[in-house]
Amino acid sequence: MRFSRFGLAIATLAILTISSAAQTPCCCTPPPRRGPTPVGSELEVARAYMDAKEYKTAEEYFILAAKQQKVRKQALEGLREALKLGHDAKEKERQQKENQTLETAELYESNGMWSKSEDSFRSLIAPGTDHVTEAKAGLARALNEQWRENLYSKISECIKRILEALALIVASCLLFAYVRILFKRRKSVEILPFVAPTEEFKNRLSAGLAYARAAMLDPAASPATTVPASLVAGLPPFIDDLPELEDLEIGGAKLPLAAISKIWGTPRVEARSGADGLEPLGSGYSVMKIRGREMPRFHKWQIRATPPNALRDDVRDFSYNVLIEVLSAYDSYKKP
Amino acid sequence: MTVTKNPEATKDPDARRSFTHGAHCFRAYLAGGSVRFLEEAKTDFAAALRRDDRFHLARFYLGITQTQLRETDEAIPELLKLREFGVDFDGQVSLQIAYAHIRRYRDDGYRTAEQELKTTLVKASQEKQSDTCLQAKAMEVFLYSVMAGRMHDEAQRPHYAALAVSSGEEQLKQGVGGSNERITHGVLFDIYNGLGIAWMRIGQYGWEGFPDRITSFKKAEGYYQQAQTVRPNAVPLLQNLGQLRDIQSDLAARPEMARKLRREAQEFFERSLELNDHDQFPFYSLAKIAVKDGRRADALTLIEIGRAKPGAVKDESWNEVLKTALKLPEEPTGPA
Repeated sequence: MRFSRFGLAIATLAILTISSAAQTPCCCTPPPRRGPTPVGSELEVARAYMDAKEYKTAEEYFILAAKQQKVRKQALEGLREALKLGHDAKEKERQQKENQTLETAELYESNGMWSKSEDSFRSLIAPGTDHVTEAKAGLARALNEQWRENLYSKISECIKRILEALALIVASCLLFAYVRILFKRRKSVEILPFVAPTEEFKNRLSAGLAYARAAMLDPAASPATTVPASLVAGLPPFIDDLPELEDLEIGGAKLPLAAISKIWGTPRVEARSGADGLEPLGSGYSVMKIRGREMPRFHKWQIRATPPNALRDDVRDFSYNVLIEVLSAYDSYKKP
Repeated sequence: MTVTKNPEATKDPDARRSFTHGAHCFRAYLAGGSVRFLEEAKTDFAAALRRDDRFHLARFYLGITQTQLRETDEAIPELLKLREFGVDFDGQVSLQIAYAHIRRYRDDGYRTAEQELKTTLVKASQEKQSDTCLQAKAMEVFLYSVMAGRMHDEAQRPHYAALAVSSGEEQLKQGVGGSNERITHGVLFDIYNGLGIAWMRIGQYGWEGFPDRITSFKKAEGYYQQAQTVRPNAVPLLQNLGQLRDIQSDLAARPEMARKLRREAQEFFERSLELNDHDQFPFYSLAKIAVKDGRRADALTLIEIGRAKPGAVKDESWNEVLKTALKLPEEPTGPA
């Protein structure tokens, strides 16, 4: 046989290399055997893995070691032990995981985080788990609480929608009322407060106007009338019958209604009246502005200061005169 | 009554303007303004008719204002002219014609008014105008009560007093219900007032076949009070109450009772003047009371003022009370 010494050395070196690699611990599948392995080395490797509690890898080495007759028995025993310990470790790990999940679920539950507690409890409901009963109960609680929360939020959403609708309706009604008032105002008559040299005389004139106006609105009910009530005429509303227009706030935006009403809501007829209160013969006057007409109308009547009956009669008649001219001006606006 | 609901019964703008002004003046008079407004209204209505002879509403109001001004000789032909045109305004023209005849205070006028009212009643019943029927019946009570006190044929007075009582009480028993509150109140007032006047006359003259004076006066007072509940402090009612007290004072057994009753009568007349002093009658009545009380100066003042007012008190009546007042001793003036 003509082997060279060099070739033989190479082969020996290869064998030694392979065998040393076989002795190195690793977590993966052991490398395929390339040559005869020293007896018991796999067993020792398996035991080493056992010590390191890597039971899976140890199983594989035990399986390999079991192929050798000399250590079969030990390998099988070791394999048995590895399987048992591996199973125990898995079981323990599973229980620990379950306990942690349960604790987490209960923690979520105690903090009212129902969705997460639901997920946690749900994950514990599976065949083979230890805490199925608690998990089911916890899941039921979580679902119940979520249903309740959902219900509350639906109700509050519904209430919110209703209030929004109501606010819209109220705003619409106010807007409609405002427009209506503006139209009414444009059709109305305004008699501005009387002007007089003294407060007392001014109050007297104002009281006379109020009385005259009330009596003329319903002369049938007037105590002074001596004929049956038969005159019914469509008197326009007087400006101070209308409510004051305030600024209205809708949705946070203020609408300058009072300003708009002053521009657009001008009455049909505006009367400025007063009396001078001079003695013995004074006069009352009235200036009527009709909307759309340039020239105002001017009227003047006498007011006697004496005797007292004459003053009373003339002050009263002054109010009636103002009302007559105002109403006539209003009618002439409708039909010039 | 719907007459004033359609004042656009002319195409002439000047006629319409005059009419409108006149209508407001008339309304002011009804409400308690001076008789000057009535005169102005009459002028306006006449002006409207000059522009448009077919302006029936203006003619109708002209007739009413002339009646109020006691120009019944002009009022009645104007109202009859409306009939020629076939215009009756739901029986209101006929009622005004009847009223104008009553205001003539003549026996033939009363009979014409009675006939007019009967015709109106028949026509209104046929045309189912219930309000006009009520007004006609109420005016009938008023007519008969006036006849009971003012007929020249004094023998007929008790007959008409009985008619007033039976007609008025029959209507009250049937119940008064107009199409609206104004009609109902107006009719009720006229019935109560008419019954009060009728019983007052029965008590005043003590006719046979009627209850005694005390009972009659009590009934009159009762009906006047009921009229007051319908229209408190109405001028005609205050004047009637004053007249009742005056009549009772004339029939009072004791002088102090007579004085007390005269004082009450005076208060009623003065209250009526506060509301409407455009009539002679309350001044005349107060002058008579002043004469009975021996107040010469007051009597003369009242006569002077009252004669200048419009009214139906005859000159002979004024002269009589003036003569009596002048015979009174002059009242002592205060210490120098």
